Amino acid sequence: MADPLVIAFAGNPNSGKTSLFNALTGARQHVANYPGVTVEVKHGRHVLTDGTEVRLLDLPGTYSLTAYSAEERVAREALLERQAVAIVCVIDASNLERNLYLLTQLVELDIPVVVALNMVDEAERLGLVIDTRRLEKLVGVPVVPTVGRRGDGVTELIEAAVKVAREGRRPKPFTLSSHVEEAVAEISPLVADLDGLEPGRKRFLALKLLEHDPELVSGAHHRLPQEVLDRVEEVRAELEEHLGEDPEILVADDRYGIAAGVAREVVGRSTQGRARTAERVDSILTNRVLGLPVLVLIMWGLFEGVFRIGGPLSEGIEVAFGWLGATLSESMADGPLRSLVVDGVISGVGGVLVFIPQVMLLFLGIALMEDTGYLARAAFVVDRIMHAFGLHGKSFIPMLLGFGCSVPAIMATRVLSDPKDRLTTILVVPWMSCSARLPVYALLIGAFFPAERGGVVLLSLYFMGVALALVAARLFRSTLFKGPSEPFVMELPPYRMPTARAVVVHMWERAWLYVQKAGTTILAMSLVMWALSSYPKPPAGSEISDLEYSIAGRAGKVIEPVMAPAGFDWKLSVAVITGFAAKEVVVSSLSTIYGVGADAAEVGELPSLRESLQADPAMNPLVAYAFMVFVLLYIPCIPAVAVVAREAGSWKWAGFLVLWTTGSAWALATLVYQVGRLVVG
Amino acid sequence: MTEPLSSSMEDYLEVIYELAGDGRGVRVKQIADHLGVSLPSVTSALRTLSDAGLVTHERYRPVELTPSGRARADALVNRHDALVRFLTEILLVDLETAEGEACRMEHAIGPVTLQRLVNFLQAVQRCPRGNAEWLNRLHARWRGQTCEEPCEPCVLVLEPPLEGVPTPNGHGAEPGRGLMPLSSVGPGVRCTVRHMRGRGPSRRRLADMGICRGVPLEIKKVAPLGDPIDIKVRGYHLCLRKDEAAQIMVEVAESPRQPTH
Repeated sequence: MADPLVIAFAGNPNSGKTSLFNALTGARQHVANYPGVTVEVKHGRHVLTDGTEVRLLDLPGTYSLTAYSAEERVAREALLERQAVAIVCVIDASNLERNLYLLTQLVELDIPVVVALNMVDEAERLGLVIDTRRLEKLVGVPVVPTVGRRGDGVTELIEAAVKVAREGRRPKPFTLSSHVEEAVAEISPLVADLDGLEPGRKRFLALKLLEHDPELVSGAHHRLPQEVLDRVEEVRAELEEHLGEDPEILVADDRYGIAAGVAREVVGRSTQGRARTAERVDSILTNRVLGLPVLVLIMWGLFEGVFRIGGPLSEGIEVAFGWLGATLSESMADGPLRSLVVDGVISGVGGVLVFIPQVMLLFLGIALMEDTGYLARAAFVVDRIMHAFGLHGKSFIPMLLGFGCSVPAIMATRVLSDPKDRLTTILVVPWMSCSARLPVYALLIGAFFPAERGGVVLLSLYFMGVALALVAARLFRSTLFKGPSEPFVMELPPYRMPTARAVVVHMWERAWLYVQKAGTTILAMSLVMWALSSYPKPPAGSEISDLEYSIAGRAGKVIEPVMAPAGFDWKLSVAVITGFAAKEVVVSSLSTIYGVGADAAEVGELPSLRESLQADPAMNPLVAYAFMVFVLLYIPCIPAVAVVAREAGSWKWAGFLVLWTTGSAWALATLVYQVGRLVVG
Repeated sequence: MTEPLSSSMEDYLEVIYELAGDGRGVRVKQIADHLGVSLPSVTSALRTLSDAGLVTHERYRPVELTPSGRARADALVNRHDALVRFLTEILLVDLETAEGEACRMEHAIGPVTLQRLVNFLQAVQRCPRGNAEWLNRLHARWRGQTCEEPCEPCVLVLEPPLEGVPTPNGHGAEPGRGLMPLSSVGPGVRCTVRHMRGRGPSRRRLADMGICRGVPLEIKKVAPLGDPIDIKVRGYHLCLRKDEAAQIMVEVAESPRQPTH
C-alpha cells in the first residue's frame, strides 16, 4: 500500500473534533467545553477493518478560513497546504447555521469533504430534529451523524471519509449572489496561470483576493503580479460602489444566507425541549450583581477544598513514606548507601509525592470548570476588570489554566489574536500559581499556620499572584505594548454535564504526569542535591556539621547575604536555586537538606520534614510566608521558560521574563519580610 | 386542524406561548398586562381555551399549554413569522409596519393561501444554490439603483423608484429612522441588524460570527460591570464588548407583539 491516507478534522471551535479524534485513535487529547481547547495540530492513526492505516490530523477550531487568531492560522495553513487528502468537517448539530458557514468555505478548497454531524444527542435534547438525508442533498457531500463522546458513528464516518478520498470526489462550491459571482468570474482568469496554483484552487484564490485576505494578497502563498492586484482592487471598488459594502462582508453575507437557508430547510423543531435548568443556573452564575461574588466563592471553595480534603490524605502518604524510610534505615547498614536511599531518594521523591492528593484535587476543580462551560462564563464576567488592566476577557482562560500548569496555559494564549494582548498574557501567566508550587505551600502552611487558616493563607498567595499579574499587565500595556486592545468577540458554549469518566481520566493523567516527574526530574535533582549536601565530608573532629561543610552548604553560605533581606537562611537559599528545574524540587531539596542534616542518633525515628522545619530556629511563619511569596513569583521552571521562548518567538522575551520575575520575587519577598518584622516587632 | 378559534383566542394563545418561552408557567396578570385587557376577560378566555383542551388552568396556578395547545401556537407563530418575512423580505415593507399588518393578515387569510405564500417565499429564498436573480433586480429597481445591463422591459414598466424602500444599508426614505446602536439596547430585547459601522478585521470577524444585515438578535444579559454583553444570534450565544456593539446598528422589534385591535 502507498502512503497512508491523511484525513484532517476541521470545524468550528468546540464542535467536538477532538472527541471524534480520540474515539478513532484511542488518544487521550485534552477535551473540554470552551472554544479553543486545541491550539496545535495533533496527529494520530486509525486502522480500518480491512487493515488500511489512516493518519488523522486534529486541527484547532476555526470559524472561518480568514484566520484571525494564532490557532486559527495553524488550522488554515494545514488545510491550504493540502496536508490531507480528505477533510472531515465537524459540525455541531445544535448550532447548525454558524457551523455550515465554515462548510461553505471548506468545499472551495478542492479537497474531498465529509460532514460529521456531531453531538446529535444534544441537538435532540434541545428539541431539534435534523433531516440528515436532506442535508446531504443540499450540501452535496456525505453527512454522518455522530456522538463524539460516546464514539457513536465514528466507524461510519471514517469509512465515508476514506471513500471520498479514494474516489477523489471534489465537492461542488455553493453559488454566491450574482454580483459576487460576476466579480469572481472577472478575477479567476487573471490568476488562472499563476505558478504553482492547482486548477481546482482558482475559485478559492479569486474569492480570497476579492475578500482582500491579507495573507493571500501579500503573496504569502502565491506570488501575485502587481497588475493582477491592481485589477482586483478595481473589481473590489466597483462592487463596493454598486452595493455600498465591503466585498468581504458581501461574501460573508452570502455564505450566511446559504447556511441559514440550508439550516431552515433541514431543522425541524419538536415542540418540547430547551435546556431550562441551565438557563436558570446561568442567570445566577453571570448575574449582574452575583456574578463576581459567585466567581470568588467558587475559587475560594476550590482552594479550601484542596487544602481541607487534600491535607489529611497527604498526611497519610507522609506516614507511609516515614515508615518506609525508618524500615529501610533499620535494615540497612549505616553508610553512604543508606544515606543515599533514605536521605536522597526517599526524602526527596517522597517529599514531593506526598502532595499528590492536593494536585489531583486542583485538577479536578479545573476540569469541572472547563467541562461544564463555566470557564468561558468566568471570562465573560471578568472581562471588564481584565480590560481595565489592559488584558482581555479571553486572557482569563490561559490565566486560570495557569493554576494547573504554565506550559499548556502559555500555549492556550493562542486564542488571543492580537500579538500585544498575547505577549502580555504570556508574560503574566507564570504568576498564576501553578500546581508545582502547591507542594511548597502545602508543606510550609502545614508546618507554620493553624489548620483553620490554611485555606485562607493559600488563597492569599493565589490572589497575590493574580493581583500582581494584573498590575504587571497594566505596566506592560502602558510601556512595552502600547496600543488598543483587540475586540472581545467570544462564543459562550452551552452548559454541559461533564462525564465522570472524562473528569476522572483527566485527573488521573495529571496525577500520573506528576508521578513521572517525581521519578525523573525530581529524582535526579534529589540525587544531585544529596551528593552536593553530603560531600565533601568534613575532617574528623571538625566542629562544623557535615551539611555546612558540603558543597551545597558552602554555596548556600555564599548566597545567603543576598537572600538575607528576605529572611532566608542558607538552606532556603539553596532550595530556591534548585527550584529552577521544577518548583516541586524546592520541597525535595529541603527534604534532602534536612534529611542529611538530621542527627544520626535519631535515625529509626525519622522526623518528618514538617517537624524538622518547625524545629529549625531559623524558621517562623513570617519567613515561611516570605519564602512562599518568593516561590510564587520567581523564575518559572525551565520547561515554562522554553515554551515562552517558543510562543513569544524569541529568547529575548524568555530572558526578560526570567530577570523580571526573579527581580520582582526578591523585592516582594524582602518587602513582606521587612514589613512583617516591623509589625510583629 | 381542529375546530377554528376566534382571532382573539389566537392572540391569547400566542401570548401565552411567548410568555411561556422562558420555562416558567404564565400568570394571568402577565397575560392581562401584555394584551392590555382586564383580568376577568383573561379568565374567561382561558376558560374557552381550556375547554378546547389547549391550556390547563387551575385557580391560583400558572397557566400552561397542553401539547396540542403548544402545537397550535407553534403553527400560529410560524404563520405570523412567515407573513412578516414575506412583507419585509420580498415586498421590502419596513419591519414596524410589517409586524402590525401581519397581525391583522394572519387572522384574515385562509390556510391554503397562507401555505402558498410560505411556499412561494421558500421557493424564492431558500434555494441554497443561488439567489433569485429577478428578485435582486426588482429590489434594486425599487431602491432606485441603476442596473448595469439594461433591464428587461417588464421590470422597467414598474414605477421607479418606490418610496420608503429600505436600502441594504438599512436606511429607508428617512435615513436611520428607528435605528440605534446595539450597545444602547437593554437585556431581553429582540432586534434586527440593519447596518454595521466600522471596517477592518474586527468588522470581518463579526461577519464571520454571523452578524450580518437582517439577522435577528436578542440581548440575553449584561456582565456584572456593565460590559461585555451576551447576545443570542443564529441560535448560539456570543459575547461582545460595548465598543463592538456600538458599531452594530439595529432596529428594535416590537416585543412583545401587540394583538389585533
